[in-house]
Amino acid sequence: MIDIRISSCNKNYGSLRVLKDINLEIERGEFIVLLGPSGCGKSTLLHIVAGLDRLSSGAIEIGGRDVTDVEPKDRDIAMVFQSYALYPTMSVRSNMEFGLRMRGKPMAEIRPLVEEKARMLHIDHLLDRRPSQLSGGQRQRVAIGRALVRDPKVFLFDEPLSNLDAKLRASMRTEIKKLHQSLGTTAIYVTHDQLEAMTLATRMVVMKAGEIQQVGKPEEVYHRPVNLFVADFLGNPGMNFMKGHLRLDGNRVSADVGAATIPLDGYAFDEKPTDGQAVVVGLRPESVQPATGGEPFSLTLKPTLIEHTGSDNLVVLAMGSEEIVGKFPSDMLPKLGEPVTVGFDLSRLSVFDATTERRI
Amino acid sequence: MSTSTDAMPRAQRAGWLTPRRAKAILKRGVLYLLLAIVAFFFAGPLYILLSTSFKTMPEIQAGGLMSLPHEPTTQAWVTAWGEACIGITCGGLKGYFGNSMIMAVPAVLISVMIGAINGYALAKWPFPGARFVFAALVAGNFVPFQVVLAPVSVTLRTLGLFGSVEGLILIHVIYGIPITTMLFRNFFLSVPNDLIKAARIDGAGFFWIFFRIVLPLSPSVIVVALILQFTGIWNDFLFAVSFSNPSSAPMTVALNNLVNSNFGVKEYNVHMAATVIAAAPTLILYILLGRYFLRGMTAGAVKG
Repeated sequence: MIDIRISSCNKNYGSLRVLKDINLEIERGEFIVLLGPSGCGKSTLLHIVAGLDRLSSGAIEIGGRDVTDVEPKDRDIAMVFQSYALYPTMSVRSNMEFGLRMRGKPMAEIRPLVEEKARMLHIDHLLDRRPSQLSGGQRQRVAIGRALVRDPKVFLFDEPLSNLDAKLRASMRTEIKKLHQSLGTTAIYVTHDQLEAMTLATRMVVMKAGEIQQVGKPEEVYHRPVNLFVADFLGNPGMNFMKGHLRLDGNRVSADVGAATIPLDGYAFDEKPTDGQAVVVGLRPESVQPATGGEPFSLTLKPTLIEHTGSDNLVVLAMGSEEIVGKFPSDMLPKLGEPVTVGFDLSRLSVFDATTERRI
Repeated sequence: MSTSTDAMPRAQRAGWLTPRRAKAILKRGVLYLLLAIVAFFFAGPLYILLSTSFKTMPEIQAGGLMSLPHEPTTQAWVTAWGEACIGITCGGLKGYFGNSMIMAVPAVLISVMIGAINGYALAKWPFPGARFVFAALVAGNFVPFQVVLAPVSVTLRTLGLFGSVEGLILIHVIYGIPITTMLFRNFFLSVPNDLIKAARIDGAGFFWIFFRIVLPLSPSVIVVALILQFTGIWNDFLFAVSFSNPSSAPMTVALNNLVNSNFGVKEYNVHMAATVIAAAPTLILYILLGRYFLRGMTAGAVKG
């Protein structure tokens, strides 16, 4: 069942086109993450779904109802802000009660509801404090609690964890995921943090310059990026790119990337390859591993730099005039300058047309 | 300073006026001297006002401007408040004090209230042309009051409010709106937009957000606006003298008529008492709310 439908949505600020013909359908219970660099329009899209921004053209449906011209309060949504946006002069309890009181719910019903959600988020001992007396993590819990008590049809999150330190961010991320699993409420979550996107999303939407680049399950977007931008934006360290040309030899296709010729026999082309086509071959660092002998394709390359991350060793390898990065297990420590044989996991290859930058 | 002296041997520290210390003491001395001069400059006249108001006329005529009253008497105060002749009536200042109160209190409250709502709308609910409206209001702050005397006079006559307290209230409200709007608008710009958005999603409308979320954040700016407006309206002489008649004249006009009266002996003690009475409300307001005033003026400066 479609819960949110965004149809041909455009947003202009003067001559600046912030959103260009956005179409998106969101099923009930999905956790959609909008991911993209700053200025890609992801927050604007969220604000438009919330009703805080008006769209220039197009339509928004929530729960089968056209809400394009409906006020935010009547859209049955709740939103969590990056800045928490707690009402500074009110206690935590009043903050959580506010939305329900505005809706005219009797206090006798509000009280137990607020207390229940506060217990759930472990903030029940903070109910009589002011936001200024809370830590960042506690404030974000209150902000989430304020959204929860409303029991909305859709949760909207606008970079809710960006103001927290790394450790807290990781634990809040897990909690948000648990919350979604137990409540099953449809959610749209905006972030520029790909780790948040990968871990939280049931589907993610990668955006750039006001346009949707790719929509899909996180692993699908990660392993089968539709274009160079998505391939490059996701992953840390980033995907290795090798420029070259396709060689068609009868039924066999390979990519000549200068320092090597990579066989593409098992590659599922989306488009028919042509001989001599300029391409970029992409392979993620974790698919470049020390060879064990059984690989269908391996190369012997010289390490020029090694970075220890603790869990892995990132090995920079010279490949002709270019460099590629391999993510080696931490116990595999090659010596600088001494050639190592690395195996390429060819099932994880991505091939892009060099001019259109699209996956082929 | 203290760390360097602490580090010295005890014998050297004791009793010796080091050049650095001498310089510091000299700096302090100059500072205190300047402060004393400034304090005398402002407190001196107030002292003369108060001491003279408690003297009798013979004592004043005997000279000794700076001396304390020999036989303090409140007679001048009683006269100023209830008996002094202003124009052709001899009922003292009390009626005019009342006029000023009836004029200033509503004018202050209304102009602050409207300024707050205007500022809130301009800062947080941008509408097409908001920038132009704001620019026009800012320009309004720079209109010299002399320029508007004639048009206002005509307007008040047309409305039938010329010479009435209501007319003065109207004029003070209108000419107070630009400054209060600007004050509130600039303050409200610092209120995070996310708060307004969160409240809109929670179901609060324009006025709910204003009264429940924005105003509770703004006591300091409200106090600043109240003090500015009250001082300005209470002390206004130009509008008062132009648009009032003897029965609606506020304190400032009455005080002027009393002091500049050409009949009889100049009763300095009565004049001084009258002046203190005229200045008292603004003084009291500063004393009561001054802390908030300072806090409000510096709020933007210290917030990171």
